[in-house]
Amino acid sequence: MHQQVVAAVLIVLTWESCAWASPPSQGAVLFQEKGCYSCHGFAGQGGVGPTLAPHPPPFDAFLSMVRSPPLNMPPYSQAILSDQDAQRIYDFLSTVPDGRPASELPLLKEAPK
Amino acid sequence: MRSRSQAPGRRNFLKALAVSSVLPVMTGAPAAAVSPTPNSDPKASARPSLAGTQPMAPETQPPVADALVGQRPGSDYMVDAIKALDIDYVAVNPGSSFRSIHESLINYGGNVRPELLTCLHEETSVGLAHGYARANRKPMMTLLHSVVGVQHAAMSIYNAFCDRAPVIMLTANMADANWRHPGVEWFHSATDIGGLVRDFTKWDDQPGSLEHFCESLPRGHQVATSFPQAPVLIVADSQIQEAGVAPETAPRILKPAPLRPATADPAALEMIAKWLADAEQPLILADRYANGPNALPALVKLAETAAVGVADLGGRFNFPTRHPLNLTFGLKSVASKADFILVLEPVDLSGALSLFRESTRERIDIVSAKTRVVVLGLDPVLRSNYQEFQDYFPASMFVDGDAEASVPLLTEALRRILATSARQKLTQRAARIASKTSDMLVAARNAAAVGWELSPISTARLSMEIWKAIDGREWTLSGQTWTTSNWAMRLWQMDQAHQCVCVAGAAALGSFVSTALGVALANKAKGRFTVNIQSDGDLLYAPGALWTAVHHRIPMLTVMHNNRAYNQEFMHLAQMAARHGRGIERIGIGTTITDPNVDFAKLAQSMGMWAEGPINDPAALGPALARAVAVVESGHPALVDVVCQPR
Repeated sequence: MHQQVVAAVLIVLTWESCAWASPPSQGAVLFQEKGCYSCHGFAGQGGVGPTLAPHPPPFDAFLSMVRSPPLNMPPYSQAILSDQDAQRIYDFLSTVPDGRPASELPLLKEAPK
Repeated sequence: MRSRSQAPGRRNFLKALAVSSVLPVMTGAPAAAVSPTPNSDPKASARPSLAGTQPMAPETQPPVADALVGQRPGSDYMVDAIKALDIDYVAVNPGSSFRSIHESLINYGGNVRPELLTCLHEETSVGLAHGYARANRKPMMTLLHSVVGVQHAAMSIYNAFCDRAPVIMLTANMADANWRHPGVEWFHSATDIGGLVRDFTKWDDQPGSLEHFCESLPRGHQVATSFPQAPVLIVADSQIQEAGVAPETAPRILKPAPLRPATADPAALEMIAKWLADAEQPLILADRYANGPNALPALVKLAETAAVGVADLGGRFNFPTRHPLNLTFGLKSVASKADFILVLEPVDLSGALSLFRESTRERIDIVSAKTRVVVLGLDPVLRSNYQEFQDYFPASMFVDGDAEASVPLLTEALRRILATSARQKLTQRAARIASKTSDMLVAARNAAAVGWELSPISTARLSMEIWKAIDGREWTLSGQTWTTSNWAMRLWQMDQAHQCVCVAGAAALGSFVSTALGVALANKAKGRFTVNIQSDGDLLYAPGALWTAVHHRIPMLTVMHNNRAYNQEFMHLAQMAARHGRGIERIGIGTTITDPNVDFAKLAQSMGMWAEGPINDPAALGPALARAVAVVESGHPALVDVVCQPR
């Protein structure tokens, strides 16, 4: 049952057209399984939660925030996210490419001054 | 308790009219003398004639004429009273309890001013009226079926109440049990129907006569539209609606008096002006401030005069998004350094000036105890039960008065006392704030670029594609922006009061599509384009609003922010699963809207609406929006379903 639910979530909520994420790494799958995407976006680009990628903070700081977040983020204990899996998620976030800068995207470049 | 055989009921009552000596009324006797108005005693005429009669089989019943045929019903006069209010629309989901007033509105009243709008749920009726009032600065009306219709509407009423929006609601009732049809009409009657929603309406009344109703209506209008505004409920008793009224007993038709909002005490405004002038790092917070079109430019004038940053807390659209003094998205950092904060019509001041730690449920103040915080506005507390009045904030001073009416006076007071020598200080401060807001815009653009090519489509991309599609038109953004990470507020240029009518209210799902429809209705007459960023979970509560849009040719572009989840609840579940140490993997149960995915384009198409989607490819979004805009510009609603990132 557990696997079915995870599979269903993954089928529905994937970034299949995102070239750099195909096939998804272990860290990318964990990023979804552990619900990180719901606040930080599928690529860690930010949303309700802060931007995590590209260029996440150093791993120690990242892990500290994961274990003991200061405000609204759920505290991810060892019981629900091992250090190893946290590292995998971190590795995934580190591989998110920069993408084009805003100055090269017409819709953002031309956004109202 | 009377026995069933004794109960006259409406049909038996009419039968009694036919078989008793009352029948001659049909031959020309004065109507007022025999009409079963609530002022008369139906029992006096009906019940004695039934005493001792034996039940008869339906097939043995003699033909009976309707005793009320040809008489002018009370509902005609109710329509006269409604027309005196200058109401443009009345939103209706039909109900037998107001069948007489419904008929009077469309035939006697000609279905003009007000025009009936058919809604498929009372939640939509009230939401539509709510959005219309916000966009048009005048109320419209709803007709709610007795008891069950009011129950259906309750959430939307509460939403409008929390948003301090005026909605004039009529419902019906059958107070006199002798008038009721057996069965359903008893289910749909109450001794105190207003009690259903009294905790979140500003006023309600259950008139006992036609005259009373015609007096209550203008009073209700006045109560609803005076600040703080809120919904009111008036009962149009079914018996009063249907009873014949003789011309000589016709009620007076009254108009509501024009309202002029109360300004604050001039001495208090002088004091605020002095504090503003003396402050080194002042800040203005505006929340439920701007109701009329002049409020936004008035606040710009005040901010520029004082060289003070403004954070728009979003209760209304208060300040231009791209103004160099707009500090909305830097509020928490600038508030901690402020030495004087002026707050206009706050909704949740404590929340605005604190952080909240979820793990301990504690508020962390971000303003210094030395910071002078002055509130200018009307005390918003109207009712005590529902806790929408938020946490009490111990302000330094509360200045009572309508902020919108008072800000121009405050600006004048400030101008009088600002010394010429202060100009340099103000210019430097304005430049510092402008530099910060410029940096914030650059940061927002850079953040928007991350994930630009993603599928599901990022909410930043969604927002900017919409911007491109509507740019160059006179438009209004409705719906909600907080579920799309406020990208529209961060990146769009909005500098006119009509450009953003995003209705928050009680954050009640099911309300956003209806309020957006009301905004679009208000914009229809003005030829203004309405775009609604619509979350999927909200639409699924009351999708019939789409049918109303099509049926009444209300042009509105609905762009789905379809994240296939109740994402807010998904995040709450993540919080709980993490806290309980039981893993995050199963929190999609009960929070996601998948298996099957909802096809919103087909849903809209089934109601006759032009629609496209689901769109997954970000490159396909712009062309789809362009096609949808063309449909809306031709006078029809359109929907584009976009599969999006969660936030």
